[in-house]
Amino acid sequence: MPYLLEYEAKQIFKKEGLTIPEGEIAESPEQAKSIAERIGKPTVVKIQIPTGRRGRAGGIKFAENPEETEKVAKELLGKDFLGYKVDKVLVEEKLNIKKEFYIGVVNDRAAKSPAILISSEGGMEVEEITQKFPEKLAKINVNIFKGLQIFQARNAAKKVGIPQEIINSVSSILYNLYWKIYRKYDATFTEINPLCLTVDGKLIAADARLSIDDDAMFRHKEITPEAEKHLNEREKHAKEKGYVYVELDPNGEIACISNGAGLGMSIMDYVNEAGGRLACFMDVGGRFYELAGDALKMVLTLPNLKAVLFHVYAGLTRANVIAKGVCEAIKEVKPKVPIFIQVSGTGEKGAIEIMKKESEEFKKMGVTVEWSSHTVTGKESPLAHKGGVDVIEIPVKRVLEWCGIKYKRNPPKWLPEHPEWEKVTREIMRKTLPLRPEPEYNELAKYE
Amino acid sequence: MEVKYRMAVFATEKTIVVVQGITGKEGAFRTKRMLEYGTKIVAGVTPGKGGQEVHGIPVYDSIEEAVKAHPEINTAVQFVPARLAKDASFEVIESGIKNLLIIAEGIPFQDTMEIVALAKEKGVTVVGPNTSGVISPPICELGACCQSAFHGPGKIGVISTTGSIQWYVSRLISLGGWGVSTMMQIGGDPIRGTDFPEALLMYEKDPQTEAMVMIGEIGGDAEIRAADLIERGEVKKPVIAYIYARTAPPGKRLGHAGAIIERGGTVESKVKALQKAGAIVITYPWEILGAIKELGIEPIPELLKTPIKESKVEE
Repeated sequence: MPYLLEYEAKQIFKKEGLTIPEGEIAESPEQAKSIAERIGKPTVVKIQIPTGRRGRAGGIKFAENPEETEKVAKELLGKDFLGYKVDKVLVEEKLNIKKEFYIGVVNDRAAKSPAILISSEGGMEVEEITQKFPEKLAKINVNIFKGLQIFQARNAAKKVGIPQEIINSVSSILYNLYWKIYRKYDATFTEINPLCLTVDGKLIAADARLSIDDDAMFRHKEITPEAEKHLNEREKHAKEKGYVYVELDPNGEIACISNGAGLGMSIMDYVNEAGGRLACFMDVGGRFYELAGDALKMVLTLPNLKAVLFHVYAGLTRANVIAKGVCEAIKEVKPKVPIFIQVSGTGEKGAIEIMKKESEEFKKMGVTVEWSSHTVTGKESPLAHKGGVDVIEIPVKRVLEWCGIKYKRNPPKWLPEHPEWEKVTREIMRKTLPLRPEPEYNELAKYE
Repeated sequence: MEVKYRMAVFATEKTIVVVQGITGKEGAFRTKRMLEYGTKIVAGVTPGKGGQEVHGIPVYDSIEEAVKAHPEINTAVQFVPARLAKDASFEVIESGIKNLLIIAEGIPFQDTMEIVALAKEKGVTVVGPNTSGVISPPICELGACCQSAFHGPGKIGVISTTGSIQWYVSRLISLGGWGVSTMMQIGGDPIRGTDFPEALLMYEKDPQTEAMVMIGEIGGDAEIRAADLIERGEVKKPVIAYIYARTAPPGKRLGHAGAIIERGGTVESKVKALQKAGAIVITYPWEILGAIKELGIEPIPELLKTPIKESKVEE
């Protein structure tokens, strides 16, 4: 989700004809000073980080003159705010504000349509407006085919108490925000907060937020968000290759490559709750066969990596194809960290055959590989682990052990505890699997 | 065993399919697997490839031509890249076909909004995007499901944002003898053709389904709106939920386009809403059979002895 920094969003707003304060970006205190000299008015200095609540965190400061601007910029640059290091500040003219408003356009997931938001209060997060002034906030869903009409914006502005004399101008700004920003740039969300009415009667976008849909970036090649310039080598590589790669902790010890976000996120939960450090998870797609080696090489560049977990329960992807791809990649790369391969689901039988054969090879090569699959009993090869009910958890347990961590379950307190349900699941499996016509389940039954 | 009831929409014994993108590698492979499973596929469409055959299925240049030759088609399964999905979806919706399954991942949100808005206007049910499909064992599979994880006709309806961990849960339900009525993967995008609330209402009306399992994730509020339906009594059948990504850092998109904590959407808020509404929440997926058993729903003894259906095509 390329979340644009304020100054990047403002450049787009300006290009599209929305009024923004006079200002420029500075990377050093000296630069900030010269911008203030050029503006020739008191200034506001704002840290450029990809999140809201900057004001409350102390990241927005006012200055009366160029010297003070320099001093303030010096205080802010290089500091950490809300987990982000500040390497740029936006220096702008300080507005003489009479009143602040809020306008925004969001994707309404529940209504499956865009929604406009407008309030006669501004300058605080929209959640806070909702709580403190519910009667002063309106949300209107927009039919995506008709799009926002200016009368809808006017009616909404009137409803929330925008002063009559500026209703027309506020609603035309909202109209432009919808058409020229939200629709034109495939925004997932955009807002002006606050939209300031100045003492001399101008309406100016004092802040600008814009987040563009990742999946629509192919339509906006002219935009290279700052956030993307900060990607590390792995993230850049993944982006180039089109992998779904989420780096959670560059110093983490476990890389998890799974075939689906649901499995990846569940593993993240179990590893985190056990006190492990998951470096990343990666969601492999259908193209994984030819890319397994490349993906493996990529995660092996994580500096503190101690184990790699391929955890695959295939539907759209195919377990046999993934098993083959991973095995070939391991032979090519000969990784020094141990690897657990769990491959179940579509193509499972083929995957098990491949793993039985290949895991012997790995042993000879001196690469540590252990493996499992849903119908594996653990006796197929010396390196196999039991599947069945345990097929999700045992691989997690093993990779944590490789990191020197004893696996324990430690779910948050607000989740219910029902250890008896797990026991029942196991009892049922012991009872039902021997009855099944498929021989692989009869075999597994002896170990459940 | 005679199948008396099937879900009112999607993957029923009356489902007759056209596959969009049938000549592509994935489209052709999945067509073969669906056919072997017993899904009634009568036509395929790839613009510019009309006149060919894929696994004995005639290929047409357009949906219009396919529907003209096979007016019985009522469902489209779409294996088309994300950037072409809007056009392909509009083509289906305008044709009069009433069910559309969109597999592609990575469709721009605003394109999906347009697809969903047009579908609503024309009375078309959309499942997806970003899904591997819908399956009603043993009669109909649509998309790219893990067939071997599903036994039926069963009693439990499964609704999920994900494949992966859901295949595991469905497999336990199947092996345990309850079987699955229909599994509907609603997908991991923020804008979904069918979301948890609509899906729950479909299962509520299905006489074969006795309880629903919901597998959900962080982001948005679909699980909370589902909880509201349960609380209001519009969904009376029991609901069991597993919600993952409870340790997710806020503001980070985790694989699925919709899986991000921003302005709410935490697992905690969803779990609490579901519990308050009377749904059963499980902490680990392997607790599933204990939770189902506690509901007092009886397994189906025949399912333990009949083989699970699966296409043998692996590559």
